[in-house]
Amino acid sequence: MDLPLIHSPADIVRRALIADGAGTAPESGQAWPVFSSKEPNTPDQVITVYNTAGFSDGRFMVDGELFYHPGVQVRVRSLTSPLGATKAESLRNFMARLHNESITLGGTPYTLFCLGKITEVRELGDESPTSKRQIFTIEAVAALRRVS
Amino acid sequence: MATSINVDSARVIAALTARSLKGKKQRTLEVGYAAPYATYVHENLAMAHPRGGQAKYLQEPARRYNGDIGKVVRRKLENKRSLDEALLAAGKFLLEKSIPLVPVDTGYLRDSSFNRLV
Repeated sequence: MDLPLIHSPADIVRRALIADGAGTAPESGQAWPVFSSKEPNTPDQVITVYNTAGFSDGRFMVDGELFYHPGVQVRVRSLTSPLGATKAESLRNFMARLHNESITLGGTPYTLFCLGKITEVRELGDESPTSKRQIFTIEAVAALRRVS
Repeated sequence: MATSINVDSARVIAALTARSLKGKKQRTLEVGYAAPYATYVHENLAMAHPRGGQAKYLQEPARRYNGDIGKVVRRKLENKRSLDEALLAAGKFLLEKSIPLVPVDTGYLRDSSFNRLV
């Protein structure tokens, strides 16, 4: 049976993006910081991972374990459209390559097996009618497990 | 003793063919919202909705009721309804779950829902 998650799937995916260099930790002050669940107003160019509804994929007949794959959305905000599109596309490729990542959050180990059902990059356009910042999103579902 | 029954066989065959899955093993149903800003509202998880509703107003029920949507189709087919009728019923079921989640400002987005075979 799977152990219940202590951290949200968005937190775990965020950590994987930082660990493998697709983005940076906000405290480092470098370009493309990665946040989870709440997008800050500054800096202009950020990556934010959100939790979304996942899929229930049936039950294991031996022990009754329910297979559930939580959903995540990776959102890119950039100053210009070409820059955001390029970053979002590279993130999408990175997400497709993620495989058996070992991640530790607050002392709790997780394995992120992969991200599946990765959508194409969606360009949502201006962040708001008064903003020039551009928004791009990518959807996926995560196969992950708490190790201990 | 013999009894004769008059059957309009051509009509019966046409009716059965219409209900049959033959040649219609794959049909596509589109369920969605036609408002031009529907995608923006649906995908923008950072947007606040003070008057209720939420982002992912279609994806969330589609995932949550995935099994139930399949059951609607199966039940209709078991009751000898056509594949088209079964799919439209499933789409209607999904919209019933989705519409209460649609953020309402003017109501245009909510009213732009559609459920059609393509």
